[in-house]
Amino acid sequence: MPQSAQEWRVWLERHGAALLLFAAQWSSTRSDAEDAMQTGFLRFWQTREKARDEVAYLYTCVRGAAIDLGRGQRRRQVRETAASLPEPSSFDIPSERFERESAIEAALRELPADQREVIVMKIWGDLTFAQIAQALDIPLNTAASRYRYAIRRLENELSSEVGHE
Amino acid sequence: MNEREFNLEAELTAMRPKTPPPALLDQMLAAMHPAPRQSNRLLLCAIGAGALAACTIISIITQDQATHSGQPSPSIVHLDASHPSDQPTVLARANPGWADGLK
Repeated sequence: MPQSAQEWRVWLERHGAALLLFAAQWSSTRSDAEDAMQTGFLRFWQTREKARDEVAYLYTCVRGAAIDLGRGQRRRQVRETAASLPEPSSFDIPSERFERESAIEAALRELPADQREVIVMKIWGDLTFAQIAQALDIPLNTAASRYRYAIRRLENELSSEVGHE
Repeated sequence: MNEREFNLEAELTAMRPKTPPPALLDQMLAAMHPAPRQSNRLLLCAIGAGALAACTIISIITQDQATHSGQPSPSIVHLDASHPSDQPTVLARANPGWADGLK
């Protein structure tokens, strides 16, 4: 893991997108996800000596910050849902892939939260199952199982959409 | 996992999450080494001023003690040979008036 501010900048430029996507799994808006990422990173930095695996611990901190922020925002969200604009995509989608990747993103949103966060950590965060298990404080087999179920569910959902077209 | 699931996995891996705005990264990195808050600066200034004042007072006191403590510097006064004490040289106190009284 990086040590200096410059090393952290390089790490965040490379892995920050995945971390922000992860924060977005527990946030209702992109702005909330950014706040959670910042708060979570600060929490990680101030307590990182507790970490067995720093990457896993960073994800733990960001997750905790996003959940805490979500609890506080929930009442406001109920009032604002009717007037809110749809959130923009969390992905940079090329125009030629718009339909397919939009469908994938929509199917991803429909996953149960515990499966969705494992998918994000594994696919885009590039964490190992051991790191995912540590970050979520779950057994390794549970992390692997959630991942498999998530992939299967996504595939079924996307296949059924293609079948309906 | 079957072949379609492996293909989906590859599709997912190819998707690019949006990068955080540079300003967010700047804020996160700045928080790693926060600048001293205004109240801390004032406290440090007050402590520094107090230390400086204490050093000044101590130096004044020690200088004053060196000036007034112990015997005055001796001075050698030459007396006339006709002086009844017949001592050509007397070690006298550093009080010019005292030596004048002997002439």
